[in-house]
Amino acid sequence: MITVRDLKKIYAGRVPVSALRGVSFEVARGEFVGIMGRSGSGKSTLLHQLGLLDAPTAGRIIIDGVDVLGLSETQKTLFRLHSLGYVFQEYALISELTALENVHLPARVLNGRKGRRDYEQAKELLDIVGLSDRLHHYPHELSGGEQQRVAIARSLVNRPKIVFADEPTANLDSQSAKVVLELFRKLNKELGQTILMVTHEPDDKQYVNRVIWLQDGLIERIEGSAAGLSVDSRPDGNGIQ
Amino acid sequence: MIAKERPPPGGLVVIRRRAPERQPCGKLSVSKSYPITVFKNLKTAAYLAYKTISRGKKAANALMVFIMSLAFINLVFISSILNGVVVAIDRQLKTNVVSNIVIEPQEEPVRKDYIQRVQELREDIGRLPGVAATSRHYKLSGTVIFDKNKDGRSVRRGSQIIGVDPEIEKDFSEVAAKMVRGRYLDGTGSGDIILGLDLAGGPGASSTIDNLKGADVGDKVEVVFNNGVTRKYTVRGIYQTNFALVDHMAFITSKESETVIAAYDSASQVLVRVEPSASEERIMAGIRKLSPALVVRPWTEYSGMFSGVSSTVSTITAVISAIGLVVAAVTIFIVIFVNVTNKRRQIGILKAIGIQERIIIYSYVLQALFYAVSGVIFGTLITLFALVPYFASHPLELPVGSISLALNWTRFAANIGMLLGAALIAGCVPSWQGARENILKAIWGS
Repeated sequence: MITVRDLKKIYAGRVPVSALRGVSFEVARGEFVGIMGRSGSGKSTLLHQLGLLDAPTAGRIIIDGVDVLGLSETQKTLFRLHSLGYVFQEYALISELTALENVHLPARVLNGRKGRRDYEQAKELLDIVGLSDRLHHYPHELSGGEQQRVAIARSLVNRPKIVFADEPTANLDSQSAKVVLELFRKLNKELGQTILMVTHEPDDKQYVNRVIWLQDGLIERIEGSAAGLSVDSRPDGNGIQ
Repeated sequence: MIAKERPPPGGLVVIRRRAPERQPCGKLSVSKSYPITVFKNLKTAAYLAYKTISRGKKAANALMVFIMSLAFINLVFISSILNGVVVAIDRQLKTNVVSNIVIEPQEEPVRKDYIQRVQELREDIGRLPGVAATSRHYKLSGTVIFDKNKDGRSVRRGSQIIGVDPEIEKDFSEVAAKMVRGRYLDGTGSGDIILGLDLAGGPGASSTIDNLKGADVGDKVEVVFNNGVTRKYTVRGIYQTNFALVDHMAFITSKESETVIAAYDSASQVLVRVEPSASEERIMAGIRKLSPALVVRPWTEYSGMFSGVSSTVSTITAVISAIGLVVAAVTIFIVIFVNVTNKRRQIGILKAIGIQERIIIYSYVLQALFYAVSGVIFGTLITLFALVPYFASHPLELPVGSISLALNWTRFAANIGMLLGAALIAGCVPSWQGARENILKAIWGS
């Protein structure tokens, strides 16, 4: 599903910073992978490159057979719309849209206004994340946990190949965080949704199939295994083959 | 496709996914895989713009529309009031001075002072299609002398004295209808004169023009014509057209003029009024055919110094319109720029979830156009139903006449087009800048 080869990211500036220094790994379809590491280890940077929100300095990213770094900006945008879902740390909802409209928006862009089925599906997704009674509430009328669940529903509406979650529980209380993580796990188990989640909470390991540990822009080790993939947890930063 | 099934006991609903569509490896043509048309983009942009406006603060929206209305009114009002000055000058010239076409005595090969056999000429001209009426004027010059207190300390003022046929002139110019005191001339009034208010002086007269210091109805004035003839007249009336050029003249009858210059059936000028639908050019050609020796001119050639006023007014209008347009454009730019700046993170989110830059730009441009169109609509309503009626009933009184708003519909349409164009550019630039920003920078604000 995802193949990452020798991915590097250097932030230019007076003192260039190497956030990723050659990361390679693969993710199989249907996996729930956690990306963990200390602050500054490069985990969010990695997710941003995979989610096509930023451009790496070097390396390759192949998602479902598509060498995504070769796409134009417009193609990347369309690829994000069609194939990727993204859940941000800070909810990232559109303030002028209700929960239902927020979830429906990507489907509306993809399929046009007449996509009534998309509308119904947006409702179903909000039902799934437990917000069927909050369809017409605006983001400011929802709690942090509820907003994050809306964001999760939105990330799923176009049936993406992969959902990326960037510390989705960082701003939530423990109870809300647990609800969100349970939701991800169930989506992964019951829907077969491929999920890559950045987290800094060691306890979150229990929800994922595998954990890629990063340190100083390199893979430190990989814990766990995925069916059909042999996992090499060498601490040389080159991940699995 | 996700399908929902009954939830297992104690579990979450089970959703089943349709097998994902496989993409060809390596060489993916995204544009073919995801055919999103421009129309669909515009619909989405319109949706986002609508949501932003409808969920925005009502007072802020109302203020923005109000500002746009003022910007539009500024464009229309200034140009209309200045256009009103030009229209007033033109109307005064045509109504009270020269009408549509002026016929003057021959200049070549021998210059003559008067047109001869005027009655016959007028009858011939009157038969030309499109001619509404004709009139003749004797243009005389002289000095009007008035001894108000009959103490020998008379006031002398140079003036143009026009000889007219009173009954014809009543239908030809406004002077007869603009008497402020006394009465108009009549056919037998050989000893009568009427004076413009600015020549007579007294209450209501212009303080900037030398006058006779208060000649009034019934007073006796002496006129020394330029040919040396001196006559005494009784002031029968004082008129005021509000056109300084006319209000500094005096009128006597044609019969009286003929006795002054010892002429008969002649005129200094024959004026021709043309029906509104008729062509001045065609009638002028017809007149030249009737009397090739006479000089035939359109009224515009007599606007003289006023043509300078017109061109100056046009220049001022253009400058003020341009400034108004820039102010409107800058206003829209600032509003959209502030909007884009405040929505920077939101724009990043929209891009992150796969909404194209062009949709985001379209949505902000549509917002700008919404404000501009609303401003144009409200501005038009205020102009047509408030300003125009107000100035029609309360015109500005200037030396060229009563000035009201003269809407030039071509310019009006151009103003609408320019404001919308300004909105388009002013909405496009900041939204383009905002939409081009790196997604992560936009979201995290770094």
